[in-house]
Amino acid sequence: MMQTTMDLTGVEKRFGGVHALDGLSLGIGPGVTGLLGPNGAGKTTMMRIAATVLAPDGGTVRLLDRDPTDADDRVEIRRRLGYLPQEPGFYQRFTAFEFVDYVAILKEMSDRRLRHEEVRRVLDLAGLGDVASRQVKALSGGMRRRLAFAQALLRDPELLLLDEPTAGLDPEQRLRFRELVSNLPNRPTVVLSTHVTEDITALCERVIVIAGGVVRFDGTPGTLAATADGRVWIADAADPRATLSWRMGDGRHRHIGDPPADAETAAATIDDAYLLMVGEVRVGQEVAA
Amino acid sequence: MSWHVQAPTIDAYVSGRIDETAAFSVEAHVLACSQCREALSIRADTDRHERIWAGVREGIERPRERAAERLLRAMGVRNDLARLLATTPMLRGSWVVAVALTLAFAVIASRAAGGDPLPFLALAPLVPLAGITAAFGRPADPAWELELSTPTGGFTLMLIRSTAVLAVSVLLAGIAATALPHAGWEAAAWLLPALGLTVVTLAATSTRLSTVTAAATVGCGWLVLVVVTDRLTDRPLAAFGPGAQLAFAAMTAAAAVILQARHTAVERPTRI
Repeated sequence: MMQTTMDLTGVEKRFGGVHALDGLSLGIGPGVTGLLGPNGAGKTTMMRIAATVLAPDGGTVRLLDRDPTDADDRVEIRRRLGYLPQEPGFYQRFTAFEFVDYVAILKEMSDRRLRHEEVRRVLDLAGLGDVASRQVKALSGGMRRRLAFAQALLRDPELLLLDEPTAGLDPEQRLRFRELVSNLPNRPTVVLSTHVTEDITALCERVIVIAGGVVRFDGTPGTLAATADGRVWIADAADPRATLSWRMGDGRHRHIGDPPADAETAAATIDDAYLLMVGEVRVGQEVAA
Repeated sequence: MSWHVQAPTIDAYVSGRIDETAAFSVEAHVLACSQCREALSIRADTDRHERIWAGVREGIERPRERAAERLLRAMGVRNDLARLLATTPMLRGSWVVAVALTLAFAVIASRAAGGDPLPFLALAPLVPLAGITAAFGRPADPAWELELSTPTGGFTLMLIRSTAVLAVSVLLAGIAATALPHAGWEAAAWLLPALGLTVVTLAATSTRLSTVTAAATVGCGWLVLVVVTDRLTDRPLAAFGPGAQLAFAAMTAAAAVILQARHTAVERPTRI
């Protein structure tokens, strides 16, 4: 039986009349798991519930084998948790060091010398050692993202929840992020919510596709890509029979769906499989019916 | 390179037992000589260098202590708690100045009303409420969601910041009260209402209300209570008499019990 760090069973969450999560059930264990899904699929709601900052309307949640509804258990979970919210807010007048130091205090690091050493360590890991004394308001968007990532690494969390961690990072920073996550010590449970399928391919042992508040796929990235095998074809013109199609840089058209008999099929990617799975997603202006 | 730094000189340099002139000479030489640079790096005490570098970084990067933090530490408050208190968003100079001006206005209004303390007594309990609205929660605290995910970032942080706001408010209102004309017991009659309204507001935030809505509702309710009581009774300051003070004490205690019972709702709200 798989060892799980995070167990959600029949989790429900409504906002007004909208079902953000509709009986979501999943178990996630050590290693890097990617969450894919269109905007509004419920990924961020799920991440917030897993980060213990939002109460679900129904279902059960167990994190690190503890119950977040119990006060003592919740504190223990938070001690062992690292969380990068989708929209992390900052105190703009703080320096990068002061901000992480502040979060370290909230994470119960009371010894100043040890705390400062830990702050320097995570800032260095996030590649922010050189700008530690710069005010947050003077940091670029990518640097702020890395700053939010740095605080999530404090105390080597056993459960690391990263909501769109690579948003706003340039390719080099993204590569550095992947290197860092893949080399985290003690094999923590990392849950990574993203729109960037390259991150899933490069990092994740497992990928879960969420749409409409429920799990649509759960498996390896290779298995996800394989769901579109034989259903991707290239043609010189748009094909109305395709579920989705778009014009590529070379002027030809890439189609996903049920190919005609004489189609020139192409190797499926995670992107293809994901788009096929959440077929209602519109791609550019050239979407076939 | 016609000469190289001798081993004893390198040893003296890496251990710090070398005079300044010779040290400058070694440094100028190794910049241009890879062979001596390598010899130096082999002998270098890396632990010592790391300690020195960590000390340099600590000096540059360590958080600046703000005036409030220094004051708290001087009063014996632990360094981490002092930092949490001093980072309360509302406890900046601009807020303190605004509160001082508001209270000064209330004192002037009381003096203009022929020494009637009612304007001051009505306004003073609202001061901590205004602070609470911007001390934690959305929309005042930009890092609220992140803070909530930490062991002390929920209920504990709310209590720490509320205490800080209340302490500063009470101090400022206490100073202002001494300027009231003919001040007797009335000069302190705002204290229990201030405490009560603060705790009621905190308890209200454990529902679906935001801190701003909770404080605004409680504040408006308070003003209505004061005005209606003043109009309906002949006794001056009826809303602040002994009976009212007892009622405020009971209300404070009840709100504290509710707050404690519902602290999970503060820690893990149903919406963000």
